[in-house]
Amino acid sequence: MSRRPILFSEVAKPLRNLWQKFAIGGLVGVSLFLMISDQAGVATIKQVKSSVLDIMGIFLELGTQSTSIIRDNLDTLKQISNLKNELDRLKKENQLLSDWKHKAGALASQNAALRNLHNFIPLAPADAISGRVIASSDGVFSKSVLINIGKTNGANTGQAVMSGVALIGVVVQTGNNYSRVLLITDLNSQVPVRIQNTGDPGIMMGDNSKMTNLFFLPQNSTISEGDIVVTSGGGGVLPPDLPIGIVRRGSGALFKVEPFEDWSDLGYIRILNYKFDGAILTK
Amino acid sequence: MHNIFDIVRLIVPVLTITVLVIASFLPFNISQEVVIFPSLTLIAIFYWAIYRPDLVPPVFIFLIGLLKDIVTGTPVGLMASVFLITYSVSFVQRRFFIGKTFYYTWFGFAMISGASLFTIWIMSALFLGRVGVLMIPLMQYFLTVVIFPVVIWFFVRLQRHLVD
Repeated sequence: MSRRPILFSEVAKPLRNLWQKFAIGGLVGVSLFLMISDQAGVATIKQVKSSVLDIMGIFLELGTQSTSIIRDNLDTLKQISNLKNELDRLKKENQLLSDWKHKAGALASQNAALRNLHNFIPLAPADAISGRVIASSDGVFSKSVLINIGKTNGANTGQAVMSGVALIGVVVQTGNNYSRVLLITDLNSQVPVRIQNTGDPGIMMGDNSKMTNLFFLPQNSTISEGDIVVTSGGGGVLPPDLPIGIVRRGSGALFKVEPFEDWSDLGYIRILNYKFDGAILTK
Repeated sequence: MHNIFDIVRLIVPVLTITVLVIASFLPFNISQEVVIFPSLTLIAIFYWAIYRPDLVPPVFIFLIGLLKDIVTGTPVGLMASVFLITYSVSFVQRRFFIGKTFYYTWFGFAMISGASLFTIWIMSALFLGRVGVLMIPLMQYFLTVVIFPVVIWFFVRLQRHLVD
């Protein structure tokens, strides 16, 4: 007696039933596995992430261009109605800035004289690479942005990212053409800082809100509200003296940092291509 | 024979979820102020899991979750697992929503989305070892629940004219 050939449908049907029963459970399991592997820093996941970023970046850049056109037009409409007030504000600001210009000139010559006196060797100036933000996280559970500067343009993990004059974040992941910047307000962000007036060191940590928290200040610190917070350069990752924000009093003994009001035009950013001689991050 | 309309009919649910996820990446909310947007993706997943689960395969939900993780920088698999759980809970409970009054569905969504957003918050905290502010996820939750009827109004029309 000859055996009946096994039909494809006979094999496929139980497999399909099995898949339908356990698909969601299986996929959740895969997700958990991926989460753990990602946290463990598995190289394959890193590679897949940067490849996906490179592909998605092309589409996101197109999307960003169209949204920025709409936003620019809306901004222009708003500005037209507010021209007179804006002119008054600019006149006042101009007066204030010219006062500061004289003070800065005096301080610069004093600074140069003191450096000569002490044979001070200044740190190498940092090159800047300009780019634009093409995507952002929703800001609820994480605060990061994607920018259109990648490894091919000189981006590297650990570089400082500035908007205008102030530090906004650090490059944490790089693709060929796109990189991710972890903003200083993210829960995961920790930056060694210094209070400019007192020289007190501390660590600034984000909590996903618009202000960041200051920790590990010296016990006898004379920090007060309104002091300026800058990077300390500690740890050899970020260059020193990059402005970050202003000290605000939080609840209890906690001090917070309000980042400089400089983020409204965060369409464009600058990466500082900074090299520490002999330090870990020299690439 | 399939015509182009048949194909469009089949991909509308997947397309709406994809468009909402990609729209959530666009940098509308770049400012120092925390600008909170409702989670429209959760509403879309909830709606299609109840009314047309046959057109939204779990593998798609998994992949779109992974894409969100990679672009927004959350641990890879976090949003994928939360989207899958939202999808499966909504799917399993669908018989309680179909044919009931809208308030019943709204209440159901409030429960499921609350659990989903809370899970994301807890898992982010577990992976980072630190707890973020609770107020921002809470505000996003309320905003999502409040906007739910408006989004559903669009989805019902989309389903009526394009899918069914």
